[in-house]
Amino acid sequence: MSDDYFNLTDTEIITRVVEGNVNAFEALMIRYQEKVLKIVKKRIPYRNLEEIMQDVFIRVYQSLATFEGKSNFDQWVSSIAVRTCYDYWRKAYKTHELPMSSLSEEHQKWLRETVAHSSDTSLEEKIKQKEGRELLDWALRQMSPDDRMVLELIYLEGLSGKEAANILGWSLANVKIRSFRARRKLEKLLANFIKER
Amino acid sequence: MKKATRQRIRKVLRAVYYGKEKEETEIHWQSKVIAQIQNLGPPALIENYMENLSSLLWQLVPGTCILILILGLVFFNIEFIPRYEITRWLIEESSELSVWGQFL
Repeated sequence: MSDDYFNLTDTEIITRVVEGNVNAFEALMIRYQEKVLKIVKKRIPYRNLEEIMQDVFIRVYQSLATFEGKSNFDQWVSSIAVRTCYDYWRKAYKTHELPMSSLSEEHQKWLRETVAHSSDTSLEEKIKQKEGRELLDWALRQMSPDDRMVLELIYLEGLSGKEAANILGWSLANVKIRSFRARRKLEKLLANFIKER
Repeated sequence: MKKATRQRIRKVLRAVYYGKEKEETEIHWQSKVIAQIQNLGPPALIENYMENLSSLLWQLVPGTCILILILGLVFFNIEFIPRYEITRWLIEESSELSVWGQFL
């Protein structure tokens, strides 16, 4: 691939791709692969990463002619990545591909200890343990795909309701209601494992 | 649940969630995407194909409506004409039979 494409702006590359220079798409892919990978890694199980990364970039390519440049291309690609992950979960829930594991005593203990820890240095050590990831995956599996997406965007990533609504293409009211319900459901789920004084 | 506990849980879950970003991955998907898009052709063509298809479908709408109307009338008439025809035929046939019977 020619290095020339790397000196071009996103808009210039998009124009070339749409005009028929298919190979120029590689430059866009290389430019945004890290960002997309970060989005996908947080949402999709490791075994499906490769498949979802492919899906995201094929979707980006197929929709490229519809990109009008009104929004930032970076946001546009991110939105496609989030929606692809959302579709993955909707399909997974529909086909019942989710493992129905329950939360073990070790996970419950991990949660109690991590929440009780006061210092940030011990917290850093705790979150590196596999129990943390397994617990989060378990909690998210208890949510519907819609609740899961809203919870990830607002509760975990800290996006505003408006930003989440733009990404998902939903109304702001819908996002707010879902976010509130999903958050309460999550807290209720985890409250059972934490004994408060 | 106390507010402080809720905040603590959120902090922990957020940290775990963002920890996933840092995990090492060894996946190779780029060459597959390139191969696939080369098969697909330029995105503008895909877009034009869809546009052409939809405009073609809209052009077919008046013709389809007329066809549905004609077929509707045909089926409506098919329902009654044969019965009428059969009844008429039976009446005519029976009178002919009775006339023939007089000669036999």
